[in-house]
Amino acid sequence: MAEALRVENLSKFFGALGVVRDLSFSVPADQRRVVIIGPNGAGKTTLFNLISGEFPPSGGAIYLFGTDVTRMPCYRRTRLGLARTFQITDLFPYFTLMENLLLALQAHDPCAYGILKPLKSYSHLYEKAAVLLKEMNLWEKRDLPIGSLSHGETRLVEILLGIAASPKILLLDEPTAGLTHSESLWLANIIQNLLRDVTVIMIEHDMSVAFELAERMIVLHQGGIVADGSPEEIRENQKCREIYLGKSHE
Amino acid sequence: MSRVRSSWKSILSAAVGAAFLLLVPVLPQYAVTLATSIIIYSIYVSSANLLTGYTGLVSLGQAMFWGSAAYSVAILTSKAQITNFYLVALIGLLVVVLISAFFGILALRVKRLYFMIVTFAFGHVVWCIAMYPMQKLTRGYDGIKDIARPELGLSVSLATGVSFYYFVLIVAVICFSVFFLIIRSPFGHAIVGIRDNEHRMAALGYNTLLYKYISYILSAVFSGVAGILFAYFNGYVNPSELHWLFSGDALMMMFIGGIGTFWGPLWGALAYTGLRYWISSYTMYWFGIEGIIFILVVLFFRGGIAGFVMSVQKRLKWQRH
Amino acid sequence: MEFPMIVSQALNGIAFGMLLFLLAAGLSLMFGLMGIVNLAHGAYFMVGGYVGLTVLEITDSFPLAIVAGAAAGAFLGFLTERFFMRRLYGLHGHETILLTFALSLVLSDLSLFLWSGTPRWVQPPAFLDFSFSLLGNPYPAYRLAIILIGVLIFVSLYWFQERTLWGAIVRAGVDDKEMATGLGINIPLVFTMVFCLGAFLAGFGGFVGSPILGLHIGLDVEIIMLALAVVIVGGIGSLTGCLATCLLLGISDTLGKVLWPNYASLTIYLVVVIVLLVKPAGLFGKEVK
Repeated sequence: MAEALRVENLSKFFGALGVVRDLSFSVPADQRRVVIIGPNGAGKTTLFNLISGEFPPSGGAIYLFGTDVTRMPCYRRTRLGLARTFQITDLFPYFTLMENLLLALQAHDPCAYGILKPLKSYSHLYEKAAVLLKEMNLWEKRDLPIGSLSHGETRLVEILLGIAASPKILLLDEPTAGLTHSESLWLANIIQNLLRDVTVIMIEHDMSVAFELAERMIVLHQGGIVADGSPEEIRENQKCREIYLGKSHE
Repeated sequence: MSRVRSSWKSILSAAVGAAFLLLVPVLPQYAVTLATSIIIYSIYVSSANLLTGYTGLVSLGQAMFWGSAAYSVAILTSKAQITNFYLVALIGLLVVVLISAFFGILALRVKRLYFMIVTFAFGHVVWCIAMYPMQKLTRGYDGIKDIARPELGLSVSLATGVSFYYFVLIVAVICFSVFFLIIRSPFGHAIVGIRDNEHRMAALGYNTLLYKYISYILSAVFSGVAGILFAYFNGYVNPSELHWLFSGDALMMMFIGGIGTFWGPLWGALAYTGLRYWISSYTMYWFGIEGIIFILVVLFFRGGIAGFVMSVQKRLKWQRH
Repeated sequence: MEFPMIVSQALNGIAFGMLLFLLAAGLSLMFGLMGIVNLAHGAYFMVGGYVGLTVLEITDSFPLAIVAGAAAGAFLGFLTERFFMRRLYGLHGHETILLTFALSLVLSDLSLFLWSGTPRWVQPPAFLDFSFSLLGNPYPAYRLAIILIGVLIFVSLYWFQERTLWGAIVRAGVDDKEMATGLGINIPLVFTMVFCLGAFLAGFGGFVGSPILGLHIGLDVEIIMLALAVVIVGGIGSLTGCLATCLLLGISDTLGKVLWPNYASLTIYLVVVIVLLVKPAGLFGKEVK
């Protein structure tokens, strides 16, 4: 199918609180950079949680490459080519950098349930990890415990875990969270180069990064889509300006 | 510098290995018995360690598998008069696989604390069943006596303490080798990932429930192996082998030895059994003292013996620099 | 079994249920507020009984013995909370369970040391030490007194929970700890108080129940297993639900021991398993975090 993701009348209520209300949009498979912006509480992370399968929606449907995944558990959606990262870094605290990456790489490998042969014998996994780490200049730190990396580096590892299994669609939840402005631009550059063939849907708060990367922007507000178009259109959009009144944007 | 360090470590390991292997025939009977029971318990605690220390599922139901296997041996050898050891062992393990496959599906529906409580409740139900409804088969409170040592079909008899010790040692080496392979495999890597961050594992595409289920059954099987060895070793099986207190013992030994470490279960079985033997000869208040030891370990020595050894190693490393 | 027998056994079950309530109420509150399953609770019950017994032997005063037993319970609760639980807040739930279990082993052996293993029986106080005729059979007045005491305690706890500021604070803590702390409530102090109150009731129950249950080593394990079953089956967050489950289990256990003695524990724990798998929050429980 030509659509990587389709969301139809999606809604999520927590008790009486409607966090996502009757949301519908679709992302064509050849679209590369969709950025979702919106003020706090707009429902952005909840939308991601619904798409990736953290919890079921209260109503509506989600389709990944044409398959109805609305009731599918998290791990099975990944098999269809979906991956996501998290706003709050969610790595494996007691593993080294290399071990973290191997976990992501072995997930979709036939050896994932292998019990008798040591992990070290699967050199193809180590080679893939080496490629990724060297590209990111993290190769020297591969045997360090994840706790000794800087915040910027762990945000990068978050993304590496997301792309390790070569997904076709990647959800990045505020990848630049907690980074300084220059670090954010550095990460944005990496994202741009690393993820050339992946449909990336990204939540961003940093407007310069958002406008820099997006080919399409969706503005969420109070659980609904307020605007959906190219960055230029969004920039000119009166309603969006009202929503962001008081917030500076580029 | 590191060559010196690793060489004293390997010398120590070789010495310990040699002690286990060669020292035994010269020891008095009670020491051989003690050593045998320590090794059997270490297999039991290792199996619990696989589920709890490595997969992160705290279970109070391991005794269920140890006891079921032990009772299978007892019933098959003394009631059904089956003397073929291999057949008895196979049936015993099959029983354990069936029970764990059944209970696993149910128990893994609930998480964390509730999982621990439900395994405790299951285990208690099984104990109750063995005590009364199945009393004709299990002889209830009295237990089953006079379980003869197995005939291996080799020229060696296992009737003596020393020969049975070596038999147990060989089985233990096999079990620990399999544990070693599991831990170092992709599966082993995955279950530790599940222990540390199940949420991320699911997001990465792992069917975490299936991994936990396999781990549960594997751990049950090795508990079963230990239970089978125990039945032959002890010659007598009674309901205390199914009691939740014995499941608690596994956790205690695991904590004392070092939870989630490879050799922790052996340390734990050694320390616990040795201490119990020694202290019980002075006082009858072993349980109270066991309680105190456990409290001290949980409050002050959270890494157990293995953790303590590792911290000593680290400190020595610092001093040399 | 004829009707009068059933009635007196049912009354026995209700009396036993009341004793269970004294234990389960504290246990349930501790779990709801702190997420702690305190397996030493049964030991507080037993030690309270033994201490009361000793005081009774020395002073011959039943009321004083009650106070002593309850105070012993509260004291043990205070010690447990101050020296053990404080260090473990924020750690895994299973570690607190194992720790309290280890503590109960220590207390149990301590009791064995101090009071020896022979079962002891306590005489009810003179003014209650009679039987009256119930449907043609003699029935001990003391058991009715226990039922009355249980009702009184329930009403007091209910009033405390619903109508006083302290009760509101505790309820707030159960519902949302962080919010309560944010509102300036001294949560550690509340914890200590709840712990001591629960242990107080346990010690009280241990002595007050001793004319019925006796005092023997192993009582702590028997009673905590039933109290645990109550908390699991009944759920937490509802005092009435707790009482109802206690009465239910008390009657089941008592009748069970009379009618099919070897299946009593099995049936109760089978129910526990089913509840855990079908509705982990318990029959009357509110959603657990």
